[in-house]
Amino acid sequence: MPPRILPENPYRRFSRTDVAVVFGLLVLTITAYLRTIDFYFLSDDFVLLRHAKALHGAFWPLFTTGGGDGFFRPIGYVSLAFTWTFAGTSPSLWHLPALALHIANTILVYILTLMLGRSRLAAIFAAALFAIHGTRPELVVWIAGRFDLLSTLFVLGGLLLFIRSQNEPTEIGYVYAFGSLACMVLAILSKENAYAFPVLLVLVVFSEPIFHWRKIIDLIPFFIVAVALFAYRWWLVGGIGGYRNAVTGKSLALTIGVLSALKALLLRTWAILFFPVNWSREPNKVLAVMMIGYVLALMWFVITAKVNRKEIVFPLAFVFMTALPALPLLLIGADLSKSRLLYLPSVGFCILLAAVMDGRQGKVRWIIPGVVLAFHVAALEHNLDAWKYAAAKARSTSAIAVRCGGPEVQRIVVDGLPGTLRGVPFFANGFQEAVELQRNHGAAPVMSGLHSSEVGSCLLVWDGTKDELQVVP
Amino acid sequence: MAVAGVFEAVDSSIPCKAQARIVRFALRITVAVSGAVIGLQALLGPLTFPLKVTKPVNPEDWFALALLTMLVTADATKNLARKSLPPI
Repeated sequence: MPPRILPENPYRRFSRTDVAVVFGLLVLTITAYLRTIDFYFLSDDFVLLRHAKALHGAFWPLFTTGGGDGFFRPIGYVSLAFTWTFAGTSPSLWHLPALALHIANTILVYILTLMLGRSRLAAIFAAALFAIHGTRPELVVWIAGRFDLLSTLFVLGGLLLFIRSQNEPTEIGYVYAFGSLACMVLAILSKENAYAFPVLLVLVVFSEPIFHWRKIIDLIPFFIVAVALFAYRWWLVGGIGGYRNAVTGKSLALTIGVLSALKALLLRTWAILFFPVNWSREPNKVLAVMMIGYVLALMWFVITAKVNRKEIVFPLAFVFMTALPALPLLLIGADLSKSRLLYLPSVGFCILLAAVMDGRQGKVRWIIPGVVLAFHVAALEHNLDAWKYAAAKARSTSAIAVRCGGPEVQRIVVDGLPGTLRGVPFFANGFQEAVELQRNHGAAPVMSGLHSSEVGSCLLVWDGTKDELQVVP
Repeated sequence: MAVAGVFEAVDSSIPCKAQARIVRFALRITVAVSGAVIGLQALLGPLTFPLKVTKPVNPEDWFALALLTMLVTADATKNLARKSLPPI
C-alpha cells in the first residue's frame, strides 16, 4: 500500500484526543528540561548576547550584509535581539524561548507524522522521541542553538502547509502554498540547512499515491526562490561561506573528501541518532542497563520488522537531505559536540522508527517504543548532567576573573582555559564577554597565554584537576 | 514510488535472492557483536579484552549502519521467506 501522505479526510480537525496528546507532549517536554532553565550561559552564548544587545532594533543591516563569521542568518539574529528586550542577562529568560520553540517543533512533528498517514500511537512515539532525544541539550540549553530551532520550526510549518495545499481547492490551495513558500524563506534566513526544503517537497510529491507531473511544476517557485536566496547569500558573504579550515582558510564545504562525506552521512549521523550519549563521562549504571535493554530492543525490533519499504523511503531521504548542508561538520565525536546539526534530520529519524513501529501488532507495539523512550530519557539526563556541570563552572570561572580584575588591573591573562568541558562548549569563545557580563560594564582586556607578567596584569591558570581557574600570585 | 521500485527490481534479481541470506546473516552478526561491545562498554567502562575500546564510536557506527541496512532490506527478507530458500 502506498504511504498516505494526505489524510483520508482532508478536513480532519484536531480531536479532543489530539488536544490531550499535545498537552501530554507539553508536560513531557517541560518536565524533561525544567532543570535546565537556570543553567548559566556557555561559550558562544556570551558573544551572541553582546551582539543581540548591540542591535538596538537596527535590523535592516542584518538583511543587507553578510555575517563576518561566513553565515547569513538574519531571522535568527532578529529573534535573539527580540529576546534581549525582555530577557536581558537572565539565563532563565533566555532559555524559555528555546524551550518554547522546541515544544512547538515537537507538536509539529506529531502533526506531520499524522499527516504522513501514521497511526496516532506512532505519531505520539515520534513526537515524544523528538522531544527527549539525547542530542537536545545543545538546542535547548545553548543560545547558539536558536538558529536550528527556528529553521526547523519553519521547515516543519512549511511542509505541513504544503501538504495541506495539495488537499484544498485551487484558490485556497495557493494560499497554503504561498504560506509554505514564506516559511521556506524564513527557514533559509534562519539557517542554511533549510536549503533542503524544496527537495523535501519533491519527496512529498513523489510519496503521494497518485503522482502527477503537474505537481512538480508547482514546485518551481520554491526552487527559484531558494536559488535566488542562495545567490544573494553568495554575493553577501563573498562565496559559499560557512566554517573555514583554520590552517588553509578554505571553506570546509569545499574541502571535504568523499570518504569523510560517506562516513559522516552513513555512519556518524546514524550512530549519533541511535546512540546520543556523551561518552566524555562514563554512563551510570541506570543508563548502562537502559542501553543494554535498548540495544536488545532495537535488534528484536529490526530482525522481526515487517516494513513496507515505500513507507520508510520518505523518512530515510528526509534524514539524508537535511543532513547534507552541514555535511563537513557531521563527523560528530563521542562527546556529541555539534549534535545540534542533527536536530532537523532527527525528524526523519523519529518518523522512521514510528513507521517501523506501526508495522507491529500486539504488546510489542508498546513495549519496544517504551524501552526506546526510556533509554533516551536516561541518555538525556546523563548528557544534561554534563551541561549543568559546565554551566556552573562557566559562572564560577567568569566570577573568579571578575574578582581578579580590580581598578589597578589593566589586563587579565588566562592560560589553559578549555574550549570544551565534558564535551560541552566552555570557553572556546566568549570569555571576554563573560567577564564583561558579570561586571555589568567594560572589563580589562582578556589575553591568553602566560607570556605577560607585566605590572597591572592579573594572571589566571586553568587547573584541569579541579576544573577551576587559579590566580597566580 | 520510483526509488522503492528500483529496490524491488534489485530484490527480485536472481543474484540478489541467492546472496541476500548471507548478507542478512552477516548483518545480524554485525549488529550482535557491535551491540554487545556497546552494552559491555556502558556497563563495565573502557574495555581492554578481547578488544580495546575506550569510546564505542566505531561499534556505534557499525551497529547503526547494519541496523539501517536490515531495515531497508526487510522487504527482501519477506520475499525470501516466501521462496523458502535453504538455510546457509
